[in-house]
Amino acid sequence: MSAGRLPAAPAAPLLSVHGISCTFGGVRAVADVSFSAPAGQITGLIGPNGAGKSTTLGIVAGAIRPTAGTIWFNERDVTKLPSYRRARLGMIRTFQMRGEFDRLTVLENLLAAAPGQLGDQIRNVYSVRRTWRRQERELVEQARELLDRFEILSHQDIYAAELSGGQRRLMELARALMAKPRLLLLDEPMAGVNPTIRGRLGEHLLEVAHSGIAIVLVEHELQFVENVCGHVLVLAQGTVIGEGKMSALREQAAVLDAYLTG
Amino acid sequence: MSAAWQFYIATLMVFAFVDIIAAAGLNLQFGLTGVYNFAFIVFQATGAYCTAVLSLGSPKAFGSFQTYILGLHLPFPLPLLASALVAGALGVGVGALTVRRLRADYLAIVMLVISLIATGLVTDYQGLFNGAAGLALIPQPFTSLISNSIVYDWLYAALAGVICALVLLAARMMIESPLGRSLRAVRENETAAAALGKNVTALRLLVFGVGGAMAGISGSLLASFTQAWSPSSWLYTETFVLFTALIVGGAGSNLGPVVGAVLVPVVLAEGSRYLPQFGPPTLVPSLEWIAIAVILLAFLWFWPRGIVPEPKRTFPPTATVGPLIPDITRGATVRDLERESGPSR
Repeated sequence: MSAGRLPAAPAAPLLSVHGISCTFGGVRAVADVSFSAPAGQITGLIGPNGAGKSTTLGIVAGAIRPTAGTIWFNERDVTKLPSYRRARLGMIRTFQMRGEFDRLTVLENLLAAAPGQLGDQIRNVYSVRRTWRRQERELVEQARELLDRFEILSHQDIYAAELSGGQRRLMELARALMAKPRLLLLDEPMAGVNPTIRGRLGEHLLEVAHSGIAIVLVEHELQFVENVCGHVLVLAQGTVIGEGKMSALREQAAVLDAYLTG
Repeated sequence: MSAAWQFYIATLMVFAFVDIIAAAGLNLQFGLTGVYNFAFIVFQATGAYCTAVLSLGSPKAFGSFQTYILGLHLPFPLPLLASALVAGALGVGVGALTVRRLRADYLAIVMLVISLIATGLVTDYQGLFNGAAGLALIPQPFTSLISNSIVYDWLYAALAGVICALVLLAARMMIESPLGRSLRAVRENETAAAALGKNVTALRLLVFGVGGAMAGISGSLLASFTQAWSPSSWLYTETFVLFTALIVGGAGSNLGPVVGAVLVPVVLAEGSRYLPQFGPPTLVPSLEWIAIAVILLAFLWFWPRGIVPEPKRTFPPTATVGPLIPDITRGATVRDLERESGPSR
């Protein structure tokens, strides 16, 4: 894999982040960060621990309220929308840790993510039971196909809490896809994943991007970032200190200083 | 069977059905959604008081020996339906003030305080529901039709049983639906649920409303049967009896509330009656509370899932069909991508 064979992406950025800042009790976690993420491309956020990467992702997803700045998604200002409404627009995130529904089976984790379920409304639970049951059967098939694609179909009926770290990553990605995303926000998708799964996960991400979904991922594994990300931002102490192709970033003194040479 | 035994068993059956309905309501809130509503008994009391003041006539008709609001003298089933509606609405109202801003553990504390405030309010404001003395002579439905009190009690037990079955059926349909799955997702990880498009606040308010309505129904049936209701009937400790019942029976399952409600409030409470009297007169009732606490701790420690654990939901195998998510499942392979974008560097 390499950045050189990334799919051609449409130019219009699906996500535009303008000057977001966030302060926690006097500590500036994120300061004036701007970037955009076009559909069909994987954008990487890298930086040392405490650089503000996960905070930035949390702000974009709506879990953390920024103190300044705006977030535009699909030409709509979503800055003030709560996270569930952003998710319904197609902004779906995964978590660095503890993102599963532990006491739901793997299959149920995926089913819970499917949008537009008739049986998810109290008025339909009792009235159109047959219709939502038929819809659910279709969703079960879709979920099983995704699990098969991510090679965890054999685990469909075990509780998510019983999965290994790597399997959880795969399940979370499958679940995020079940939510019909237009933008995926992935927080360290490689953390705790063994090298075999890591390669497969990279391939899956490229396939997903190729299907027209924008991906923003936070990752520490730089070789992986170089392999999959068309554009990379380097954050340090809450600000963007460099951006571009990973290969070019490796040459920049400020980036080397802050991060790469550690 | 003697008349006394028949009366005793019919009464126990009514109590069991009432407790099962209440436990099923708490199961939606705590078992399914993870909401620690430590004011649950307030919603049962709401149903009981609502039924009392709607089915009682004007206080003056009884020589004003007790004071209360309304006194509309409505026929059955209007007080029962109104009790469900009022308790459900109160549930949504209390939920709206609390669930939006409070984390689960703080919510629990606030609900406990609300329970204490509600008891204090009803006790001290005598014009509302006759204060600490409570309300008496609450009319029973259909008494003019059935003169034999034993037959009446059996029929009342049957009525409570039918209502209980309907409530359990409604709860079961909710638990097994995609809505039930969303509620369990909120219980397991509210942040992840919100990140997947679940409106966590709305879902919690929903169970506050539906669970509150069930509590209201249980209170209505109980007050109509016992014909009396006072602040001592719904002390905050009663909420913990229901929590214990749910944890013993199995929170989150359909049968858990049934098993727990029969074992804890009915069998345990009644069982203590058969203990030989020893020590001071308050010793045995106190031991009953200690037994409930010990049972709760034992189950939390050794059998946290209860006697009937929440079942694992599996789905029957499906025939392999064509891809239903074309953009993903028909997506190009990595080799296709390589062909399109040129060779790797």
